[in-house]
Amino acid sequence: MIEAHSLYKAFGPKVAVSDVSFCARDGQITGLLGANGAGKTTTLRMLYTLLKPDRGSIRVDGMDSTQQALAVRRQLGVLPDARGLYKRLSARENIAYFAQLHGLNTATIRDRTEQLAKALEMGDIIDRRVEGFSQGERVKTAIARALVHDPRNVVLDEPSNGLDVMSTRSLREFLRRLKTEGRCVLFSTHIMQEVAALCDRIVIIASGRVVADGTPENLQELAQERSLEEAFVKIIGAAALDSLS
Amino acid sequence: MSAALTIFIKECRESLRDKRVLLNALVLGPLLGPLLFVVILRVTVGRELNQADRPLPVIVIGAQRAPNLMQVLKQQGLVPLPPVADVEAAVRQQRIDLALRISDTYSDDWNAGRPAQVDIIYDSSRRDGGGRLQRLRGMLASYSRRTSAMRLVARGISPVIGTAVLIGDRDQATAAARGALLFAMLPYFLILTSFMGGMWLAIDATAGERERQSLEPLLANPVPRSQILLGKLLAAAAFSFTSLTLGLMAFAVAAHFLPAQQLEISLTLGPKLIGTILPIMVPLY
Repeated sequence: MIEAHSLYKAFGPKVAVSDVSFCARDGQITGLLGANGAGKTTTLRMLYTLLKPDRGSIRVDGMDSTQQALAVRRQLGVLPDARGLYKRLSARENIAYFAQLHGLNTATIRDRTEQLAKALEMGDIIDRRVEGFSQGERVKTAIARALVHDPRNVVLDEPSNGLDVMSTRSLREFLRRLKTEGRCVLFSTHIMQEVAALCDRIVIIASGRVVADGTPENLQELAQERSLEEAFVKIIGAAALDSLS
Repeated sequence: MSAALTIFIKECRESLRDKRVLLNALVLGPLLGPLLFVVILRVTVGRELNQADRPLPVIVIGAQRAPNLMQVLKQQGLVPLPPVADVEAAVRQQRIDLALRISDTYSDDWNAGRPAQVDIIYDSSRRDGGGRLQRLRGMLASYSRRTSAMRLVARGISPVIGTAVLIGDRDQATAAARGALLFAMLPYFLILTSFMGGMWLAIDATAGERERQSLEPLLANPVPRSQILLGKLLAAAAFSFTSLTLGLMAFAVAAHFLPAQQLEISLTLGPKLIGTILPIMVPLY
């Protein structure tokens, strides 16, 4: 479970996140929806302890992210916005490297890698060097690397970025599987269909603040619109007007 | 396994698969120093030694005014060349590097027993001319000494009277000590080698990690940043150390190819010296 309370983060005069609170529960997929530059990546970076919030607090499975940063990182599987792999290492070695940094032993690493390779359908690429991988293969490797330590909480920053239709479908399948395993899945996106297809709960961020939070049905009711996209546009539009006045 | 060790192993493995890093750290770095050292030394020494035995072609102006002198010089290997117009300008423009001019009053002065003037025209900014200039000067000086001595004898005076103090050169330097002088440049090569060895890995492991966008995922791991830094530092140090060891071994081999006997110096770089140098270099890794 991931809880964020009144997060605030500024880079110099630029306020990236001004007021973000939400709760992502276990066994649910939570979508962080927002336009480009709304503050999604900054919020996630604070969640996985890369950035310290200027104000507010984050609790992951009850642990404070600033005081117990290492423990929090152990509970999180993170697919960051920047998902660079080591191109001179094979997919397996990339995964094993992070697994060792998590302190797993060799046997566990082997088992987990086999499981993930099977779940992500990467059997034929697992022992190839990452150099020359397609975008989809790279995302698969990065996801496997992020989940090798079997984390309770999974945070993904725009996971479907740059993926084709088929890869996106299998990614969604995989996220649903994580959900049924009882994990807390939190991902950010700016793509409407994605949240509509996947999420149990949607948190909409505009200009660094949460403007709506609820189930897809809630949000449609809230905006009194039939489609989620219309609801999103209406909610974002209202927020923009608010910030003007 | 500690995180620093994991990072150390991964950085080393990744670098060993990078041809550019390998070439620079383990081949070019260690070989460049010794190779330069040997080539430069062989070329310089070879040139000096060769010139000592070779005929010395010099443009001579007014050779007919000093037939005696010319004969003695020719016996010592000087080959007189016909004069050119405006010899100073020719030297300045580096068309010729050495010329000898026997003054107009040479025969008169000679016959009267006054100092007879000869001029050596050269350009001291040219490195090539050094050895030849010295040879010519030496030939002229010894001719002058011999003639003076004969003149004194002819007047019934012992030539020894012209030598109030006799200066003897007693160089106590051993061949090894002279070799040490040559090795004075060794520390610079070693610093460079060890620097080149670790540099590529260090660049790749820090700025490279950021550029490849793999720093953010790395920092999301439950590992203190000090451990990450330590692992990377150790990897760079290991490469530095390997490069330096290889460099020293290459120097030890290169010492055999130096013209050491011709220089009357001895250059040995044994295991014991290498064993001393490696720990001394530790702070530099």
